[in-house]
Amino acid sequence: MTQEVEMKEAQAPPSNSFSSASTPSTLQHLKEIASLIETGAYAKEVRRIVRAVRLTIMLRRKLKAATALAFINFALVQGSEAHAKLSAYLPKEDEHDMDVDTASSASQGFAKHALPEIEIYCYLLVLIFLIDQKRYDEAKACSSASIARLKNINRRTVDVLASRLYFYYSYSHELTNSLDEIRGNLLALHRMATLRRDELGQETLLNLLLRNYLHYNLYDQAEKLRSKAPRFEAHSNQQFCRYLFYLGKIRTIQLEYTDAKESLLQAARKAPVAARGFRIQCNKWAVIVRLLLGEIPERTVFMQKGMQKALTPYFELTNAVRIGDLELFKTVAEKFSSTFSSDRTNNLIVRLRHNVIRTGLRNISISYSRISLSDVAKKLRLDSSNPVADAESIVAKAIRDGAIDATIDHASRWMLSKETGDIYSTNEPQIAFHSRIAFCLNMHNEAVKALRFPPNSHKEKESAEKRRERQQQEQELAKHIAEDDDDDF
Amino acid sequence: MAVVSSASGLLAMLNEDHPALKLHALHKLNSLVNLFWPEISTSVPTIESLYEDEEFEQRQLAALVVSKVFYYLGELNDSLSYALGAGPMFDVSEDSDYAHTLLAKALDEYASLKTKSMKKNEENANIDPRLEAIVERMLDKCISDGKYQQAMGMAVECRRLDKLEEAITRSDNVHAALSYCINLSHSFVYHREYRCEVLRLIVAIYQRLPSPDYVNICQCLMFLNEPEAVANILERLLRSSAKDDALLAFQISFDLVENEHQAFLLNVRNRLLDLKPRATSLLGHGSVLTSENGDTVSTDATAAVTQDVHMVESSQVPNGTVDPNEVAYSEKLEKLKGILSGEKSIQLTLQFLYSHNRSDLLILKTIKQSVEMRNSVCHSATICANALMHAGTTVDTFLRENLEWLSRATNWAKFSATAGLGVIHGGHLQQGRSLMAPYLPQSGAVGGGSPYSEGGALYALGLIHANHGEGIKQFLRESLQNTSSEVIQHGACLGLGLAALGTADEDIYEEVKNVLYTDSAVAGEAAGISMGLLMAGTSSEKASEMLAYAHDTQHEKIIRGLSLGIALTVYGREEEADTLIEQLTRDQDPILRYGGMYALALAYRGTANNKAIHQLLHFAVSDVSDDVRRTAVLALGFVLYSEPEQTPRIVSLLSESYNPHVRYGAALAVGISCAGTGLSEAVSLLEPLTSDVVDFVRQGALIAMAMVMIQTNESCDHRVGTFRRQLEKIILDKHEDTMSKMGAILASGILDAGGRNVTIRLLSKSKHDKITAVVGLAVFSQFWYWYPLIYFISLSFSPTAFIGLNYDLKVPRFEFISNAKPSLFEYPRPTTPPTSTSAVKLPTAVLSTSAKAKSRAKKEAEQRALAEKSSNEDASSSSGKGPKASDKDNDIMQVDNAPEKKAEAERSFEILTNPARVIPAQEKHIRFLEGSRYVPVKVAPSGFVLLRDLQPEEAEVLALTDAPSNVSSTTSGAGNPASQLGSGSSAMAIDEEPQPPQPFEYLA
Repeated sequence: MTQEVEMKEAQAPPSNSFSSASTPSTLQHLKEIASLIETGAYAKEVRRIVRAVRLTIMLRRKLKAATALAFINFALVQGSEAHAKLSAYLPKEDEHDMDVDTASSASQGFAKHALPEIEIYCYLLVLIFLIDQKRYDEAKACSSASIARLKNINRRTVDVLASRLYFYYSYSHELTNSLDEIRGNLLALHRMATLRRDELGQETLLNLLLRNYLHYNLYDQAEKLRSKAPRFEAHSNQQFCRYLFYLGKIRTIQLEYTDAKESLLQAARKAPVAARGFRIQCNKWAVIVRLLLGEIPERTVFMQKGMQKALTPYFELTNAVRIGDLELFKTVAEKFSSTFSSDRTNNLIVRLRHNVIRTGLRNISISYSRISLSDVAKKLRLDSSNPVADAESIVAKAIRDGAIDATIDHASRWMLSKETGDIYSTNEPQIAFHSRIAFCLNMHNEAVKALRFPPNSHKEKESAEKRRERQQQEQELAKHIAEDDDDDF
Repeated sequence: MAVVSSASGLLAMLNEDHPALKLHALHKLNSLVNLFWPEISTSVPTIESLYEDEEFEQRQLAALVVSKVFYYLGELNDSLSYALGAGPMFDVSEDSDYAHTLLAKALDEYASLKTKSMKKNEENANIDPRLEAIVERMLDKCISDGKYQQAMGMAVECRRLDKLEEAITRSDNVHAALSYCINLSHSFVYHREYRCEVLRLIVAIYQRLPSPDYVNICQCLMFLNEPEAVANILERLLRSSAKDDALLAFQISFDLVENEHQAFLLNVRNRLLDLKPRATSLLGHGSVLTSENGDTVSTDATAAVTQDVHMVESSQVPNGTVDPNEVAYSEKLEKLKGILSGEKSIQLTLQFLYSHNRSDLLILKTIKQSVEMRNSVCHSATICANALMHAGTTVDTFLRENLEWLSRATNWAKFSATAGLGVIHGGHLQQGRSLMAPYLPQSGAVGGGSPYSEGGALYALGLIHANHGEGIKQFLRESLQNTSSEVIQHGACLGLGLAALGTADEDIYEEVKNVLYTDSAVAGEAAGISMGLLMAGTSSEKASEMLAYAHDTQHEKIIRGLSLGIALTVYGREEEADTLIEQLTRDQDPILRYGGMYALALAYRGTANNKAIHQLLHFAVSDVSDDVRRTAVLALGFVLYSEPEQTPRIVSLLSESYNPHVRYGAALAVGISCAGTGLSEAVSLLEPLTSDVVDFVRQGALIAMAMVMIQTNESCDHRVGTFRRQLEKIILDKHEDTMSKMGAILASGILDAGGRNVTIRLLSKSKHDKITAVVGLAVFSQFWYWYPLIYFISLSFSPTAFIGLNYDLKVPRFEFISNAKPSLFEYPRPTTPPTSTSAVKLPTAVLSTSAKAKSRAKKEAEQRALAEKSSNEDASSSSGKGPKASDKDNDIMQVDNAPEKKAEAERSFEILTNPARVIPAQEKHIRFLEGSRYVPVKVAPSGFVLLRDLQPEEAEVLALTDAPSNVSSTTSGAGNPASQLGSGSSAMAIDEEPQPPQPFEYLA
């Protein structure tokens, strides 16, 4: 097999001559993965298939058209429907006769895999390849074909592969900006996954649906779906992170800031280190939500490694809010408006204006025990037709909301701040301390809950071969966790 | 806008006043519900109110929409009820997830409703007619599409016998459908009464067929306990002039006998006799019956009662004949009676076990030598192991050779040793009593022997006649009446219980009860068990009587005996037993709770009933008494023996319990349920337990392992060899605990039980429970408290043989093929002395030759014995020449076969000769040769099979002549009663002689 591939490469020098050394090994890897899937399917061991998917992701950068084609010739029965479909997506490298040759000779040596798992895996591989090659329209067609095929397979061992396929299905449509076309399809798939108790599929599809709705700003529908869809223990950390992120977004829009903050922070915390883009997104939203809540995020938030640049606009925004300078706020908002609109946080930033005023007001109330309303208006740079009346109403609202502790003397048109007492004589520190402790305990509990123990590990008398296999897997997993480049957020 | 992004517009329309608008909205929603169900779900109340609005025209459409929304929300119950409301709008045949899911839900719902209403005995209590209509539509569709098996399954599940009948009768292969249905009823119908109903239906359908399958009908009828119908069928078959019908009748009877339902068989037999009055020989038989009674009452002589009956009958029947048809009929009836009484099968089994005995005396010798003199536990365990190894073979060479060693058994050990003889001679109905005569209590003469050996002998008689005690009951009763020694009472009670197992004989019950009321601990315990054995499976009110006494008495032994007895009474009664089980398991006395565990085990034996398993697991982890917990786990083995693969999984956690009692129970549970299967998981579970830290756990695990591995040889599972070596090591180890040593000795006995020709089998081939076997194992598991009960395990031994019989119920020469490597199923190789002494630097050559010489001597002795016997036969019958010669050839062949086999490459098949050893694992490889002279009536790979002779005019060559009893009766060919009479007496003459002929011993 390897010889044939090399031969083919020799005749197709420009595209992949430089990688001829690595190609055979890639194909070899792919074959190993295929056999892994096969054993997993026969033994009904989902973990093997999970591992296969993980290995594939590691391979994707090395994947070449020729390799993929060779693998498909290897794995699929020549002349089968899937084979015909998939090989059509792969470039034939101009020499059709040679191709046919390799194909026919290749098909002789291999057992005829009729496993649906292998077929689905081939779809996945080609799909990933197409997306990496930025051939999005073909990817879209390919993914649609794979989904049509998936609907007819009801095997739990396919679930892992299927969930990846769903993801790329939606991703390819997003890239071609046709997400709305597949919403119905996704709903149907979600239904199917629920009926088949494919929880991983449900999770993935629910996230894809939420993403789909949010893409079109259909927050209301997203929330309705989210609240109605069945919930269960999360299976995949990545999917759970995404879910939390979408949940945070929905809640932010629906003015439930406290809950939103919790979800967003959790999402940022749970996300793997490698998923930088996702974490930046989470942080952006989290910063805004915290500002909306009247909190000022710590400087360290913006100084996180690799995020300084991306978070600069939000840092400046935070600064404006912290100072309570409406003017500065305006300039910042204008300066970065393009960033904000691409982040789709513009509407939230409009909501922030109110907070800026309030912060300013608080600063005033701390500084002055008594100040006239016109001065307040001046300090806040209210430039409306009747600044004093405006200031009066703003102050009144702030007092009612409990943002400042003051009274208004309407007759003399001034604001009287109350004495700020010693905060350490109140229960405030205790409450703050308690909330921190509760947070730590909660974190600990969650960590304990997240621990996983292999079933029956204590009595399973494993053979030497099995032990070696397990150790290898564990090492791989450790490496994988260290790298954590699984998901493209 | 290409795609509508929200359904809010349509939802708003629902609130409009105009019905047309609402209708339009509903129509739209119905088609869009799959896209917008999250949105619509918030407005469900509005749509619901539309459905409830009587004036609204399209209420059903509203219902449909609501149903769909609920479906998407995962509320299948609500969805279903609205779908039913939608009536015709809900399209059953629609090919969508929605329709499929709801249909499945509807079936489930319907089935559970039906089951519930059945439990409350309400007919069709509040079942929605619409639901019923849907289910019926589904069933009809299945039937019309030709998916009969699905239809049958659903019909059984939904308790729709009418539909079941329809499905069966309309299927293209009614016979296949019926057998499928029988399977279904046994493995999936958990409710006993309902199963009876299903079976009744099956029988009804069978009988309507042009060519009914009588074998299956009779099996069903047996389960339904309808002896009348069985008797009628048998009678009809016998009356028919065709020989095949008679063969069929014989086959049916053999199959029935295999299920060991004594009371039922007796009933069938009596009814067959009642049918007789039409025949002219009524008079004769009447006198037979009376003479039987007369005989048995007065009997004191050594001759077995049954034989008397035989003689009387055979002499009388010919006298009364007038019509040739009647002669033929009564002759056939005679044979049939022989089969139904179990005598025929027992006799054949005995002959088979005797002739094929391959027990390895060297193992016993090793055990004997390594066991310490003074250790009475191991001593009696060795005797017991010997008994088990030779169970049913009548070979007591070992005992005879070691009489002095044997005499070291005193007191209860003596009791066991004597009882062991009963195991060895198990099934030797004719000579049983004469064999035991020296030990039996002599009437009149008091103090003739020790009460222990007398008691043991009575127990032995019970073991010999287990479940076939017609002939011996009377004698045992008298013995019981005539004694006041509690040891003899103990033996007599056990013997009676065994002999009259499950017959519910009132008189015997009363007598045993009297013994119980003497409140003597030793006798009372046996009486309790005996009462249970008598009433086994009858679920009679006697149980409450026994329970009351158990509360009264102070003796733990009696309470224990009674609680086991109570458990035995509810054998196989399933739900019927629930009240009693409840009573027992709630009791304050742990011994009664312990009985409750047994009651659960026996009532739900082999059903794998979830409720029972649940209850047992609960007790296994929560009871305060170790005994109860141990028994609860052990009981799981009984509940699960029909699905042995499940047991290791279920008890795997328990086998790691910190509590040794629970571990012990887990080991035995696996042993019981996986007995004779050689199941790999079972062995893996037991392996670590055989080296447990606690001695009695090791004991249990060793015994259980032996039960699992019985008849498995090393080429099937290499762990068998390891296990045998482990046993040897434990036995030889001086520092091993007595408990585990005893376990190892017993295990070696069980492993090679019955001359390596029996297995432990709790299910008959037709998947019925073998009551004797199950009861035997249940009482056996009591050996924890009382060692003599170990012998009860012999009840569960069933020979692994193919025995083909011709019309005369003789064993003709007949060959068939086992399509597998012979080494897979061959006997384990006999042990050789060097293995034990290889460490010592002795010239091994000497030892091996001496061993060979020894074995040769043994063979020679055997052959000489044969020759002796056959010369005897020659004297008595002239026709014995042919078979004898062939048989000798056979033996010689076997002798030199062993070396030959090793030389050449192993063949992939093996030709077996009737009667042959066919172990359970081998059954699937058995093929019958095309074009052979005999054709089996029923294609069965083992057990008793009637053979149809295709060349009746030619002389038949018979096999199986080297039997310990009735030898010449089988060889003397023609079945005419006169010669049977003669042969009977000659057989007696032969058997008067001791088995191993002494004169030849020193020549070797």
